[in-house]
Amino acid sequence: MIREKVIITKLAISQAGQIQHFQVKIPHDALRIIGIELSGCYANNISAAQPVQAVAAVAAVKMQAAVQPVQAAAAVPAIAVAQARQLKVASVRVMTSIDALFRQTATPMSYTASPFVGNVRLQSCENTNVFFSGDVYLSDENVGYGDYSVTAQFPATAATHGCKNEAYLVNTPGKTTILKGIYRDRQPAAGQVPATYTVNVYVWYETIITKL
Amino acid sequence: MQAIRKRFDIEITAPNSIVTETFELEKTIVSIVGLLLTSDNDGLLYNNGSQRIEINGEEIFPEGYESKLLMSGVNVQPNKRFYDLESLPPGNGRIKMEYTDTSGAIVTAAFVNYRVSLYLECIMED
Repeated sequence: MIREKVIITKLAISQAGQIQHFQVKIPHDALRIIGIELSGCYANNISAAQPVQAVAAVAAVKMQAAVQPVQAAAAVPAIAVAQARQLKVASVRVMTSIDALFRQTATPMSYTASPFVGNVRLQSCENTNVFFSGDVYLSDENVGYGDYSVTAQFPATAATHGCKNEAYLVNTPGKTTILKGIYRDRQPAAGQVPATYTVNVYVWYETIITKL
Repeated sequence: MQAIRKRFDIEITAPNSIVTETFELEKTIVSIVGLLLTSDNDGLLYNNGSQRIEINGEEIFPEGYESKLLMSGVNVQPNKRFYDLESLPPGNGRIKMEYTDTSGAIVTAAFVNYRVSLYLECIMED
């Protein structure tokens, strides 16, 4: 019986421009490599620490702005920034949300760039050579794009409104014993505070299992 | 044959903790076709959770596999929310879940207890 299995490799990134080499050991019983998944998460996740009131306030302002843009723009700083400042260390993630709110004219049709932090390349030791290159984003800032059903009590977040995750499909022979990988951080060297984060690389492969 | 959905809950009561639970399926279940994770605090599960899942003694998801990869939001069609397990035989029917909460220092301060629910879509013989 053919089964799918996965190997997880975690990379801790702490500097802007960091280049990290890594290896993924492929088991001998692997028939072929069938998929690659990437995910990035803040090392000290601030989004979860964001107070519920702040999230609700931001959502409320977005809703109001869809109807009355001028009044909503005036309401943003007092509510949201004050709550953000309470989290003194939460500069990166919370301020990203607040900045995003300012950049948007707070309508569900405004687009905000998601935090792109780097890319991963994987190379097989066999003929397929470099067979995968993918980008890593720390979050999806546009998960509520065009969603007019969002309310203050149920704001759009990746956890509640995100799509189902799918692996990138690849087809590489499993004969290679090691995959060589390289991760390059692409954050700007100056300007914003570089995020400290973890990149997870999931390598899916097929194998034959005799036990049922 | 008919499809049924089973739900198993675990409670996370402390940050940076590991909670291990073993659940059992009925003998009438002949295959497991889907799997889904939800929570009463989606943000904490999405950002902090990872788990190892074993079915019939066989590791399906290894330690460190992030919970967010097994979640589906409300924008996903209801009949497509489950992770496809391709008719996995249940064997002895034992499902072992080892859930790890990895809250950072900031999140630890704002931690609240939350529930993690494991949903399984199974095929049961008549």
